[in-house]
Parts: sequence; structure tokens; C-alpha cells
Amino acid sequence: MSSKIFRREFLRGAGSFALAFPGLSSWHGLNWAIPDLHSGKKKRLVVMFSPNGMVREGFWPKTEGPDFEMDQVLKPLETLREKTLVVHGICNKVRGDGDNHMRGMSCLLTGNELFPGNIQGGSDKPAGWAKGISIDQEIKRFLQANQATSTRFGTLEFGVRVPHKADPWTRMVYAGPNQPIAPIADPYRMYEKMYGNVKDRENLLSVLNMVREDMQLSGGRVDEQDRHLLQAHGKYIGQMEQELENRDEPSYLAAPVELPKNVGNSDDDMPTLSKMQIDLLVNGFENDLNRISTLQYTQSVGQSKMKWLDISEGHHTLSHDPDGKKVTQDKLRRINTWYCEQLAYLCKKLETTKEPGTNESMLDNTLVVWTNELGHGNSHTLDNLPMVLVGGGFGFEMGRFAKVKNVTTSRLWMAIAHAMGHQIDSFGLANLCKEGPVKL
Amino acid sequence: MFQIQTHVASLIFLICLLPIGLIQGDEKGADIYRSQCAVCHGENGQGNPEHYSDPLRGDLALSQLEKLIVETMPDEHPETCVGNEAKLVAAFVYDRFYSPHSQQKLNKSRIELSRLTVRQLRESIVDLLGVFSDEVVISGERGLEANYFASRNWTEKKRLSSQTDKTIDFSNGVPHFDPTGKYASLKKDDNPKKDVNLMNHGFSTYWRGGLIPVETGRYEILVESKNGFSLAINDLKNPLIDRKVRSDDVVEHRASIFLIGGRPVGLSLYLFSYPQPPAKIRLLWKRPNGIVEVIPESSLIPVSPPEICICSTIFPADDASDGYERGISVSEQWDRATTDAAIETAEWVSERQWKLAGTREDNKDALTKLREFCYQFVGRAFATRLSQDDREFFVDRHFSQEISQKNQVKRVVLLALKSPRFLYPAIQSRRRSEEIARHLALTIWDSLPDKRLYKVAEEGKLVNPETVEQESRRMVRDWRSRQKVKMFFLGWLKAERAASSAKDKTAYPDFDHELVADLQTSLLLYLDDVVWKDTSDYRELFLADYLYVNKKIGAFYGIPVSGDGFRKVSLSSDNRSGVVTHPLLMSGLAYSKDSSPIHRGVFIAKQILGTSLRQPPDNVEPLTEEFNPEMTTRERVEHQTKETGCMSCHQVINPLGFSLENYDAVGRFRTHEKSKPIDVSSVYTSPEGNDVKIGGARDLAEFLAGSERAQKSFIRKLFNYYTKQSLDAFGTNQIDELHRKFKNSGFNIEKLLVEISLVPVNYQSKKDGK
Repeated sequence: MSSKIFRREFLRGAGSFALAFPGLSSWHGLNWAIPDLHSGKKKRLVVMFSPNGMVREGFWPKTEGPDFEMDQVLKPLETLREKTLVVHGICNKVRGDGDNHMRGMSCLLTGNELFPGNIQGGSDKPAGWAKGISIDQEIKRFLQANQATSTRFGTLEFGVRVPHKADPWTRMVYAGPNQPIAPIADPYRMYEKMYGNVKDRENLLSVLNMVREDMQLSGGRVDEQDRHLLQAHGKYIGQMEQELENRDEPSYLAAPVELPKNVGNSDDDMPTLSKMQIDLLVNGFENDLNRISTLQYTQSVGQSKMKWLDISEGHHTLSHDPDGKKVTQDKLRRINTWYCEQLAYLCKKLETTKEPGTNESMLDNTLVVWTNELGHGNSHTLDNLPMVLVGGGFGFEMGRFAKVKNVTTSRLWMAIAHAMGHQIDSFGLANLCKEGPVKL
Repeated sequence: MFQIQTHVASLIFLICLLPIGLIQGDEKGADIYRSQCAVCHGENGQGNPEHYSDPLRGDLALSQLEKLIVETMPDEHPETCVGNEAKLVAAFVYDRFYSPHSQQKLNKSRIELSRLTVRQLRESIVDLLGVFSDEVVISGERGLEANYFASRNWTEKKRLSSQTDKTIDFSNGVPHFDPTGKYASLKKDDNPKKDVNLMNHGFSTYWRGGLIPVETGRYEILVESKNGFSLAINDLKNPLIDRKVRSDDVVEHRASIFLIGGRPVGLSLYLFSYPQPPAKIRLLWKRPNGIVEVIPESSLIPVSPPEICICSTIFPADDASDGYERGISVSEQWDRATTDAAIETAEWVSERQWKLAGTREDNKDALTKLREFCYQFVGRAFATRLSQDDREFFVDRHFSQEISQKNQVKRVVLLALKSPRFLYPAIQSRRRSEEIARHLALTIWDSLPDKRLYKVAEEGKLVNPETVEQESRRMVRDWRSRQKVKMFFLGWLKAERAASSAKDKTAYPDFDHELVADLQTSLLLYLDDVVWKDTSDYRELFLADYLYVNKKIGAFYGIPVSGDGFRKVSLSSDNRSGVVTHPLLMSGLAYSKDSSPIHRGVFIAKQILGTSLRQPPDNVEPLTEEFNPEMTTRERVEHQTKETGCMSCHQVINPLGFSLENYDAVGRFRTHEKSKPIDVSSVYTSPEGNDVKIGGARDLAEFLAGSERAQKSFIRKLFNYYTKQSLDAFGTNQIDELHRKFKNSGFNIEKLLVEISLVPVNYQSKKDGK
């Protein structure tokens, strides 16, 4: 990836583009912020989700502290061991309506209950959406409220193979009660969202001089008394052309990433889609379009068939098999290893990407969290969720395996919010936050 | 100052000094004019905004003009200009700028180059892309197709009913759901899963069809239901409101969508009750500037039109200084709006490019088809078959760029929609047959030719006058034409203003927004009825003795009506006669508590009779009841306007207004005011000096229906609205010619529309010497 810097743009800073095009509604908002000159380093957060619980053998280290084992699943992170923190003992204690997969998903980042509703799970009462905001959106709200940390989007929600349906099993991000946010699972659509307006500008610029040419031709075809109308019109077109031309280069710190063409959307495409989304995710950070990203693989109860790993059964079906079934355990380990490889690809990409304008590694200013809706697949437990943190740490003591006891997700999210500078006293259900942010 | 003149030319008055050699008498008249008149009327009769802003022109005879000067001019000192002086100045004014003939010489009324109006641009974009999908056939059938099932999804064998629902207004429960009543007997907190049968099935309804918006603008769509549902409008693949996940007991769900008046869009609503029947649901909207109401039957159709491309860009308003919107000026704001509209459309097209091109992305010939679509698109936009050079300029150049196909197509759309050949339809660049097709579509529909007209034009058949007339007749009957004609009538009758009237809550507690909305519908049904039935008789606009009434209107106005919806009810008992007495107009032309003979009189004089009235003097407040509680409204008006200075206008206004005094501030019929009988008798003096005795609303209606002045005013206004040009630009005898044809057809409006559409065609043919 290119990390070419257009210094002039870098210095010009926020908002100037939008100012130059007051009439063009679809152009607003290319107001990326200047790197925080006031408040020190940028702080970024990524939450990566993969479904159906975690295998016990082959994932959890046996030794607490810095000498923890990186077994089969965590192996891909070996080179990032110093920047990795594995936590055991984080529990989703939200109860109420909805089955464990639903609550595991929709209560995971919200720490809040589900409304009563009409979605019937495998057990328990039917339920609807979550009653509160998710932690990524809460931190976004905080960052966007401050000019120094506000970005064009605040957050971007990436998805890989998220099915085209909306229910509490498919949504973990909430802008507020009853406001689920759908992840964008199509990288081309995400690209449009991130860079579409630049393309529009290029397209418009490319046709405007043709319009003027056309205008001159037409001018010859009208009555002399009417020509003033076309002349006035031509003048406005010239004006717009000039405004557009004055913005010579695409105003990005890093060039928009080039995506492979014509990639489909099937399980077999999953590895390519994953790579594309991660490339876009890092690219967005480089251009400071957002400070927070979520990356959701499939959905809770996801049924991906990972044929490239020689696994033909659906993931969720496999996760129901008893621990004693060795063949299945092996498959589940391979599936989760693949997910860990995605995490590793993301983290390594962040590591090798330089913070624009500096020599720092982007990973040092980022915290990546990998988690799941369940602790363990066949028991459907919401306790001891797999929780892998990678990155600069923001004050967390990285490079170790930590065990805590019965710590609610809300307490972890509070700790992360504090690490990001957002000092909240409570998050989600208040009774799950009584002991304050967890110390790690 | 002249108090009464009649509009002849409606063009902006151009100030120009003409080097005319003046004869002796003329010089004298000119001197008098300069010394006594010019200060108020302007050097050349163009008017002076500080005194009398209207230009001096009209259709009084020279003798009548002289009489008027003797009696009223100069303002406040009419005695200083009488006798020979009055005669000379009258002659000067008449020859120099007052008479229609002099106006014609001065103004050189001409066909002006116009860009598309905002309405024309929006309509054109819809039809430009509409030709790539199926055409809609809308019958008179209303309501939505409804399919009910005893299952959560569409399951044929579980079908409970197929029917047409007039509206979706089921606040007491959706029909057919929970037929056994079994669910209702379950205890509230019981786990519904206990009743396995019920749980396994649930209930669902699929409503399908179309929505016909009344006017253009942003609509709020509301669904009231606690159940799971999904509502889609226009883009049926992406729900506008997706509430399939019921979450919490939220009842009201809103979304907003921009819609174009008269343009039907697809609508689908899927409701399911699982696992909690019975279900309730209401589908409502809030029209732009309207009230929240259940979407009425008249706006729902049981057939589903294909998706249309709606341009929702906000434009600056078009120039309407001459009483009708037209595109005679451009501004930076407008240019930017056209760019926004082009970007919006390009986005829409590129999202659907393969479908529009009739292919799939992975087909072998996909790229060829895509390029062919682009040629078609640009050709349709310009209403012509593209030359090889055009193809190269507007399409091929983009396809040779190293950019994605999406962006190639976007560039084609941007360039075509920004091109003067699209934005200025009058720029001559087509074959004659195509020019005529472009003209007919623009005049009759405010849009582009449809498939059939393209075909006829392409075959070169439109050079044949019979074919042109035949096509015009077909197009005038099309629903696009009906929408345009409807817009004309609403403007002519100033119905929008009427609809915004508010009434005194104590005097008229039941006169609410809902009633006004129903009155609007009533007026529209009435106009539709008169204009589109076989006779299409203009006179019936004034003479019909019926109203369209629903229960609410009936209850308020004391009109017996049975059944749901609107019924045609004869109202001869209270003298009701045509549009002028329609309760919407009568309540609009009134104060919040009292009627207003002045508003009513001015409306009839200006809008119907085409008389131009001087601006009322400033700082005159109408006398209120407190002035003298004994006096009737008519007495107060007579008292306040009795001065000579007032009477010059009010002798026209008052009699017209008094004749409608049987209708109070809300348009209810009355025979008494303050226990005095209503006096509707009056004598109206026409600008030509004829006296007409009027004995009430019916008399007034008969006078208006038969008035040549009113008929000609109607023709001019309709011509202006239809063609966006001045009628005189096509020759000063055109008004008489159209009037003659109108009269001979039995004042058939539909035929008049055809005749109007042909005026520019025949004019051009004559000019070309064919």
C-alpha cells in the first residue's frame, strides 16, 4: 500500500473541500481531521467478531503471565506476542428475553438487554433489538464531539459474508436502543462509501469541458436574442469547472486501495473478501476517515462452509458436536485458526503501515479486540468469552495471558473506553458495572 | 391613473423608446402625457413601481378610454384633464402603447428560448428511464391487492383470502387473523409456545399495488403497528421501513420519501403476526404541507408499476412573473441543482445498469448491450436518433477511458443530462418529425416522448398533420396529461391558498384540517369529472349543480350522503353552481369568521374574467364587526368602499362578491346574516360599460359561463401554462381563432387542449412554407 503523503492537503486540514462546494450536497464531508496536534497520538479501535464459540483445547493458554503458550489457534500471532493480551474470564451476564446466540450477539457490545419482540430463538422468549448503544458507537460519539478527534465517518462497520437479513443474530453494533447498524459486507460498496465522492468529482470534471464544447455548438443553433441565456449558463459551468480543477489531486494522505475486480459473494470467496475488507479498513485509518472499525465475520450461528480448509460442514453445526468428538474439534480448531490468521493479517498490516507523517507503526496507536458471541460452542455459555487484544495497549499490560474471574463485558468495555480517553462511569446495564472498569 | 385595463399581452414589458415621427396632435397628446401622467405611469406607460406599477395596456375601446380619463384622471384631480385634452392624451396613449395592436408592435412578442422547468426536468427524467421498463396501465380501480394467509409466509394452501382493500386502516384488528379467537384466550404472560399449533403457523398479509402521490415533494410515510412488517415503496427490493424484527411495543414507524405528483410508484406491505395475533395496522402519510392521514383509496391502485427514477434534488423556483412557470432564466443555483440532479440520476442508473441494458454482468454480450443502452439513453434524452458523431462524443469517448464500467455509464448520464440539447428542448437539432414529437410531449406532458411517439417520429410520420392531431388526441387523454391539466386548474383556482385557510375555532369548531383535505379531494374529483367526461364542457365548470361529498363533508354542510367514500350529490337546493361556489373556494375566499365579498369579487374579476385591477391602496384595514355589530358583511363593505376613488375598482369587485353572500366564511349556505335576509342582488358593470344584473350564485355562474371575456381569459391562461409561451408570439389573431374553435366544439376543453398543442406546430409549418 502506498503511504504517499500529499503534504499540502495534510496542512490544509479539515473542511476546506466542503467549503469549496457549497451547492453540491453529495460532496459534503471530506473533512478529515489533521492528526491530533493538540491531544497527542491518535487512538484507534477495531473490534473483530467471529461466531459460534471457541474450542477450549488449542486456544486457551495454560500458563498465566508473559510466558503463555501460543497453541494452534493463536500461532499466527506469534510474532506479535509482545503486543498481545489474552484474557480469560470475561462474561456476558445480560439475561432476559432471547436465546444465547441472540443475546450473545446483540448484547455483546451493548451490555444491555433485548426488547421483547417477535424473533423466536431455539429457546427462551422471543425478543427484538438491543435496548442500548454499543461500545464502539459510544466511543465514536465521544470522539466525534471533539474537533481534534472527529473524523468524516467516526466509525466504519465492515462485514465479511454477513447474510442479507436483519435480526438480533446478525447485528452487534447499535447506534442506540432499537437502532441496529448493518455492517457493509460488500467491499465494493464500502469503497463507494469511502471514496465514491472522489470518483464523482473526477467524473464530473471529465464531462464539464465536454458540456462547454456542446454548449458552444448549441449556441449557434439559437436565435441571437436568446443566446444570452446559453452564455450565462456557460459561465456557471466554467465556474464549477474551475472550482473542481483547483482541487488538483485526490485529497487523500494515502491513495485509495486498489481492489481486485469481479470478486463474488460466496463462502468460497470468503478469504478474498476478508483480505479486501482488511485492506480497506487499514486504508481508511491511513486517510483518517474514521478512528473505529468493527469487522464482523458472518453472524452468530454463522454456517460458513470453509471448503478451502477442507471442511464441508457448516460452522454452527460443527460447534454443536460434543468436545469428545476429535474430528470435529480438529475442524473447529482449523476454523478458528483461520480467523486468527485474519486477525494476524490485520495486525501485521497495521504494524507495517506507518502513521501518516511519522515513522510510527500504526499498530502502536490501535487496539484490536477479537471476540465471539459465545464462550464455548456446544454448551452455549456466555461465560469466558474468548478475548484477544492486540496493539499498543493504551495502558493495558500487553504480552501476557491474564485470568480474571466473572468480569462482565461492560467492565471490559468501560476499561477500553477509559483507555481511549472516554471516562464513563457506567455502560449498558448499570448493575453489571458496579465494580468499575476491569484492571488489566 | 387608470383603474381598469385588460391584459392582452402577458409578456414582460420591455422598455424601449421607438423613434416614431410624431404628428401634430400626437405631439400635444404626448406633452400632456409627459406633464400629467408619466410620473405615475412611466415615460412609456411601463408603470412606476412607486406609484402605479402595472403597465398601461388593455382592451378598452378608444372612446371608453377617453371616458375613463375624463372621469378619473389624474388621480384625485380628474377635473384637470377633460375635453379636448382628454381626447388628445387618450389617442396618444392608445396608439403608443395601450391598444393590443400597439403592444404587439412594441413588444414584438416572440417565442423565447426556454430551458426545462423544474417540473419538466423531473418528469423527463422519469420518462427517460421509464422507456426501459414496462409501461403502466392504470384503470379506474382503486385500493390494494391483499392476500391473507394462516401462516407466517406466503403459503398457498394456507390462504385465507384474496381481496382488494380500499385502505389499510385496521386499528381494530386485521381481518382474517386469529379466526378461532383461540389466541385471544391465552393469558397475557403465557409463553405462546404452549399453543403449538398457533405457534407453528402465525398469520400474514401481503398488500401489493401502487401509490399515486397527489403533489410533488417529500412525503412522510407512517405505519402504525406493533407487529412485524416490512414496507417498500418504489424500490421494492429495499424496504423503506423494515420492521420484520418486532422490538419493544413501538407503534409508530416513520420514513420519508420524495415522490412526484401523479406518478404512480410500486408499494408492498408485508405484515405478519407471529407469535402474537391479533394484529393491528394503519398505513398513513403526511403529504408535503399536509396533515397526517390514512392514505386514501384514491391514491392506492391494485397494480404494481415498475420502479421509476425519482429526482429529489431541490431546485430554485422557476420564474412565474407572468403567472405561469417557465424557464426563461438561469442562475448559478439552478446550474448546481441540475448538476446534483445529474449526479443523482447517474447514481440511480449505474446501480441498475445491467438491468436497464437488458443483460447480466456475466453475459458475453454484456458490454455491447451496455453501450447500446447508453446510445439509447442519450438519444431519448435528446429526443432524436444520434448521429455517428454524437455517438462518439456522448458515449464512445467515455467507454475508451480506463475506468470502471459503472463510472463510464455515470459519465454518459452526466454529460447527457448537463447537455443543452437535453436542458433546452427548443434548440433545433432534430428532424422535423422529431421536433414535433418533442414539442407534443413537452406541451402535453411536460416530459419526453413515450415509446409510441418515438416510433411514430422515427418513421417520419409526424410531418402529416392528421397524424399529429391523432397523436395529440391520444396524449391529451393520457394520465400524464391529466396530471398537468390538474396542476393548471389548481393554479387557476388558487386552490393551494384556499387549502391553507384557518377558521375561527369558536364560530366553526368542526372546520378542521381533515375537512379541508377532504374538500381538496372533492374539488379534484369534480374537476376530473367535468374535464374528462365526453362532453368536457367548459361551461359545466360553472353550471354543474353537484358536489362530491363524503360523510365528513356531508355532516359539516348538512348534505345527506350514504356509504363510504365520495359520492356525487346534487345540490340545487342551496343554489350551488360549479367551482365558484365550491366550499373549498368559498372558505378560502373568506376571513376566519366572516365571508369576504372583496376577496371573492377580486378572484372572479382577475382569475375568471381576466380583468386587471389596480393594487388596493395601502393601510386600509377591512372594517370588522366591531365597527357596527348591527351591520351585515355586505353593508360594511358598501360603507367602506363608497368613495368615488374606491368605486372605480369596487364597482367591478363588489357586485361579483355580493352575489356569493349566500355562502358564509366556511362556504355553508345561509339565507340570513344577523337575522337580516341575505341580499345577493347586484348590478355588474363590465369594462366595456355593459350592465349585468346578477341575482345570486346561479346568475353569476350563468354570466361567467357565457362571458366571451372569461372564455378568452381561460384560453390564454391554459395556453400559457401548456406551452410556456405567449399566445401572441404565434400571431395576434390566434386568440380569436382558438376562441372560434372552442365555441364551435361546444366549449370542449379536451379539444381545446389538442388545438393549443397544435398552434406552435402549425405556426412552424407555415413558417417553413409547408
